[in-house]
Amino acid sequence: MKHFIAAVLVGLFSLFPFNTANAEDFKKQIEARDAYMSMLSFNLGLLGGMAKNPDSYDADVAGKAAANLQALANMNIDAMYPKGSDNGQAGLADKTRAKPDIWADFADFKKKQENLQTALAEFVKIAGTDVDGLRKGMGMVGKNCKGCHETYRAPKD
Amino acid sequence: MRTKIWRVLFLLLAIGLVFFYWLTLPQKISAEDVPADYQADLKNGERLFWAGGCASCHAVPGAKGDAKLILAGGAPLITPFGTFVVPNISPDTEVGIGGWSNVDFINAMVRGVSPKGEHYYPAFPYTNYQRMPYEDLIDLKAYLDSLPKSSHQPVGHKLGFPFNIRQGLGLWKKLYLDGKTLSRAETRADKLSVGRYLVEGPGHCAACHSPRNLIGGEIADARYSGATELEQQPGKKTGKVPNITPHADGIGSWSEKDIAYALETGLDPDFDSFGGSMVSVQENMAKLTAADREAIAAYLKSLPAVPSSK
Ligand code: HEC
Ligand code: HEC
Ligand code: HEC
Repeated sequence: MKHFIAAVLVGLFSLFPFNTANAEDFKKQIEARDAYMSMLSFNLGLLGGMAKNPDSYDADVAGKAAANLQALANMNIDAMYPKGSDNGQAGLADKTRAKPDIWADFADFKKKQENLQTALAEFVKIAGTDVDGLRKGMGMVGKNCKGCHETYRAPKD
Repeated sequence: MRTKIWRVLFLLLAIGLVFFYWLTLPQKISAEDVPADYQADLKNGERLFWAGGCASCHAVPGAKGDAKLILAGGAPLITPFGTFVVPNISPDTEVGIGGWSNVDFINAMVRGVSPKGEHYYPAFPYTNYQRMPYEDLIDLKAYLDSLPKSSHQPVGHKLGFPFNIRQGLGLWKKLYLDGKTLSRAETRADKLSVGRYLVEGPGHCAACHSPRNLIGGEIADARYSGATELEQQPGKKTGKVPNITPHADGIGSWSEKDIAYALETGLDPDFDSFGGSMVSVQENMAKLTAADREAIAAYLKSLPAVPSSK
């Protein structure tokens, strides 16, 4: 009996602090994935600026930015998306835009990331060649950002 | 004495019912109103199909590419009023609209009335489509008729009382369906009128971007200033639709070029991409001509700047 009560108490105590610590713990992962996304849009922005104003095209800058995008996309993202770090969790609604749907089908979420990798493998070949290649390629890359944001990211508040 | 009161009450109720019936009577247009000798322009029909986003709702959920042209319906729209299930509008004559005349189609699009004379729910955005000139609707119908048939029969809506009574929609329409259909000239005069037409009419941008009151009507002086998503799923956070007026709360910092580029590519001025339901809208806009997208951008920049309601 004593053991049972002790076990229940230990169980309760270990549950309780764990639950409140969660939101705090996820802070790092959420910051990391926002920073990761910012890196993607920063590099895409360098390229997009040139696509919008073809006169500013610089093959060297374009090639490097495309290579950065590819390196970023090839990173493993699993650790940034721990289960329970979605905007449906109490306390996280205004901290993250990641929808619970990510964990309902994590394999599909990962598939979207792989699609981006595939698109970028093509993109690096054309972005640094000429501005026409860059402009065509932008659509290919952007499509894969949208492809994931369409299903797995909630709008801004 | 008692019976007399009852009689009076009964009479009042009867008058009330007749009045309700009269007030909620569907208002149809007749065959004479429709230009009979007009030759449909399929290309313009296709333009209006993409501008109108018909496939975003009427294609099979999740359809991409050419599958978007099969308008078999079946997508559930979960709203606070209940669940609407989008019907089949493929040219199938049994379950689709293949057997419809132009007049039937125009009545659906501008009056929100079915061939049987029933009111449609405004989940079908006819309060925006009512702006479309009859010629444009004939073009659109001809284009729809050219698409593949599907014999899929979606299940019906699941709505609670009183929303399951279509007759009551007549009252709602008295408030929010003004019947102002544009003439073709008004939709083509210059860049701004093209933009206004595409945004206010087929594009139905207000359907998502304008705040609504408790009965689902758009709040006139806050148009385009952002809203909560009408579609909501139980147990999930309801999404916000951003302000798209030229206010600082909205897209005041976007240039016309930024807006047109975003509609073409889905990438905003920060090179973040669109997400959620705007992705499907943007992919439709990408099918329009650059001139149409630039016209939309010019019109959005000309809107009154309205702060977001909070
Ligand atoms: C596999 C899915 C996926 C892909 C692919 C993806 N994103 Fe994201 N993105 C997300 C999710 C999920 C969030 C929300 C993260 C959060 O708020 O916790 C997000 C957020 C963002 C944000 C907002 C960051 C912030 O600080 O709030 C930007 C910007 C962004 N993404 C840009 C991009 C760009 C550019 C691409 C394409 C090159 C891209 N994303 C591809 C899933 C994805
Ligand atoms: C089905 C609903 C829906 C319709 C219809 C719709 N939008 Fe949107 N729109 C959204 C949502 C949701 C977002 C937020 C997207 C996100 O999460 O990135 C958005 C975002 C935008 C943005 C970006 C705003 C910002 O601050 O980032 C613009 C511009 C825009 N819409 C323009 C339009 C125009 C023009 C139309 C009509 C042609 C239109 N929208 C029709 C739902 C809609
Ligand atoms: C936001 C989603 C949405 C969009 C966009 C939309 N519809 Fe619909 N539509 C509906 C719904 C929901 C109904 C069912 C209304 C009802 O039962 O009262 C409907 C009904 C219809 C009907 C009547 C069908 C019948 O069997 O009686 C027609 C015709 C139609 N839509 C045509 C179109 C066309 C053409 C477009 C594009 C210009 C379009 N719709 C765009 C949601 C949509």
